[in-house]
Amino acid sequence: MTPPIAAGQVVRTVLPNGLTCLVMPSPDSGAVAIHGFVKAGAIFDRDRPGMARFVGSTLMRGTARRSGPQLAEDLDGIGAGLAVASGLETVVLSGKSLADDAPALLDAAAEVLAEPSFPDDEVERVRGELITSAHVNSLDTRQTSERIFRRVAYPTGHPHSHNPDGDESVLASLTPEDLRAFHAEQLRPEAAAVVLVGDVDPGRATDLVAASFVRWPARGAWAIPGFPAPHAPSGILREESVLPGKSQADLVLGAHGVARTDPDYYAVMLANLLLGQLGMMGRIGENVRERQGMAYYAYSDLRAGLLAGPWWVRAGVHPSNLERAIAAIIHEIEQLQRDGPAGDELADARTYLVGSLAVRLETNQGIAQTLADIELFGLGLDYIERYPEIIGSISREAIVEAIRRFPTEGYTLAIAGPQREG
Amino acid sequence: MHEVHATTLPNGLQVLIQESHAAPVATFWVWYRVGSRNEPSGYTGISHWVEHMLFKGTPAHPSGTLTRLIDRLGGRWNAFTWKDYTAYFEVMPVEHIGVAVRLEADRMQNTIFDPEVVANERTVIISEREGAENYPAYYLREEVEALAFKAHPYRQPVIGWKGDLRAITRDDLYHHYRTYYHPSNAIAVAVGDFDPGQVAALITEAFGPVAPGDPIPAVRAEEPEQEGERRVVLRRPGGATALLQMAFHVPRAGHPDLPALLVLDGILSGFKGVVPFDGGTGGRSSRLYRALVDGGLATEVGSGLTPSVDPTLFRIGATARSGVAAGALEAAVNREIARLHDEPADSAEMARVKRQAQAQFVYLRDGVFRRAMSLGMFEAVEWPQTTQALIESVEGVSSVEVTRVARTYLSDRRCTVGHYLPEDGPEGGVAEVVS
Repeated sequence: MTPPIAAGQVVRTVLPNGLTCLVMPSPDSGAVAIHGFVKAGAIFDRDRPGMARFVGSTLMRGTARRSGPQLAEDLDGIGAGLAVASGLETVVLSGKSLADDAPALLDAAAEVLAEPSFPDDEVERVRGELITSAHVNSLDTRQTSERIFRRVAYPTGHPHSHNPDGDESVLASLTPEDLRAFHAEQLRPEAAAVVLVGDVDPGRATDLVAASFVRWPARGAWAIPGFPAPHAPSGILREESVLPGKSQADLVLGAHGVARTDPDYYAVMLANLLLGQLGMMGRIGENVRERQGMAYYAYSDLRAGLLAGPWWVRAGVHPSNLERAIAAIIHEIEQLQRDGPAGDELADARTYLVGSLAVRLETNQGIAQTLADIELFGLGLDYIERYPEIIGSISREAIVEAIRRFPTEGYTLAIAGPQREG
Repeated sequence: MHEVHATTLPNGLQVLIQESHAAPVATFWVWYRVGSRNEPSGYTGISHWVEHMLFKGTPAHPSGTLTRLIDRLGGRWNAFTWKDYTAYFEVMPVEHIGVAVRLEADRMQNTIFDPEVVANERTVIISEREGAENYPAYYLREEVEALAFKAHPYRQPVIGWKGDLRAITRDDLYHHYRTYYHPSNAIAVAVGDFDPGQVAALITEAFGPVAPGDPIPAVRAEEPEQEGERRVVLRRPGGATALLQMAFHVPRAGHPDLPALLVLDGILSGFKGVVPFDGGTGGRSSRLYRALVDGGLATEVGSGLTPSVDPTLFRIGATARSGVAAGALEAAVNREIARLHDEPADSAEMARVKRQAQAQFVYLRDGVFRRAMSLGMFEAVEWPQTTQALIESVEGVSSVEVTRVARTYLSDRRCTVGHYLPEDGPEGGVAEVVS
């Protein structure tokens, strides 16, 4: 079967300013999808948590060439979508337009990343939105359990320890000048890639990207700042928050995972798939949801990025079932650690990962996002072609070893929910 | 785009098939004309619960093997329940589409309703409901819907009232399943990289032998005309900021005013697709965004309508910025509604919305999933219009018609207003280290 992304179909170019450009044709869709990233997320916040989020949220609100409302009107006028989201490691830009409007979409994308103007009134508006969002999330049980987990599991100063919403005091005090300075320092073409997938000739598409992004000046070398290493706790660190007016308790139970580029990544990813994803949320879902009927959701997730992120189990249960659910989760982890994958469980996981490539990569957006990840983590343009071999090469022993890395006697447990009775 | 082949099997199953050769994948759907609209009082949530049970196995596909079967073949599958319909789908590498067809035909007839599994699923669904209850916006929506409809079952939440979820029995579920799950109450949709004749043969082979089933009970309830504005103020802890929801009675899918209402919605908050869960691309130049978000009153604002079998609601919702009152949001929305009543949209604004509509319809071609979803949804809500015809109707809407539908439908008499006002703050955290 032809792989959905073959190296020969993708044109990769590094522009003179250092920006990496990837294009892949997808004939007959009538549209294009764009996906880009800049390594300029909260990892660069240093002692000002919320800085990257504030900058990312303001990029669309005005550029050197257009006001925010004008930009919105121009994009709406061609039925195009463009959005910027600021995450822990990267600022991500995604969008789509009709194929004929690709030049206009790329121009808007280039202006937003290279020439944002941070107008005073827009900065104030975004500040209000971000502070409101932080207030809303402070009463959200899922968000609160995650915030507690991060604060407890990672040392102060570690990027993963921060509140993803930022600190309210930081959000309240940043000036347009601060935002401009962060942009100038961190949003560099050398730290970025732009992917275009759609109904355009690849040669022409590369020229279009180059023409739009020529305005982004090269800024030279950069590095991810250092931070304190996280230490595995010797016992169970448990913290709960009581929120009024809630019905359900959300929990996060987890430990430190691995980076996407770690040699053990695939073994841990497969172990996680068996533990809390495959089928109806893996073994954890099978126990907590299917057998015991305690939760609508109970799954595990491995947050592997440029940095090693959390490896956590998350579930939402009635407060009276909390202890039973936690015991069931630990039981499933320990059982998988002790006995390893059963019967054809591992074969199923492998055939799922390989077989589902076609389905996972059936849209322009899906392909663009995958190409962006391939670039971000340096996986190589033949990655999808090599993928079956990579997955096939991970031994059962490596997976058992990976699942045994989950520390069942030294993890962090964060809970947010209603007051419990008794 | 390839044509849609529409046929009906002798047992009443409607079949819609469309080729798409962009990727080596295919999707198969079965839509049943059953949802919360069909639920009598005391049985709310039963359609959604039956949907959950269809994942629990048949004699040929015992519990636990279903998911494994789909996973092993590299597919994904799921289902959702709405007021008018319950839909099941698989997206598969095209060579395995026959597995999806046979699986759906099997679980249409042979799903096991094991009492123990039913008991477990009761608490799973109550947990699903309680997860939603953690958000004040969910409670507000329930209040607004229950107030907007006093006779029609659209007043009921799809997930069901908690008391009903505690009371519904295994036999109630099985009876509901037997009443609504048969070929003459279903629509099969296939879109993918296949020969349509071959897929039609697969569907006929799998579903042809299934008995047609009896006609489903009619939904007789008719919502009487609203005689005046209705209003609910919800005060409870759990939220940090005020919320506004407004709902106006509008006609069913297929009514000639629908295209103008879709354009009206586009002017207010950007044109969206008509596929369930579609959000559109932008809308930041729209009137509500300009007035409420650019105006510094709200962090989010939106509007929309879901095409429905019976007359439904056009909704407007907004989240206040910290410190802004729900009344201020409502006043700003009302100023925009008054503008729509008083002055026609200019030609640039009309052109912008129609261009968004054209683009949305092109985006629908990206991937087999959304295309199949739109085909099934149109049929399930009895909207006898192709996507192409809908594009043409939207193209033809004039600003005069937009003014007319705004005056007709966005009026006080048709409106239900809901405010959520936060109460109390967090009670503070308790921290302990266990070991």
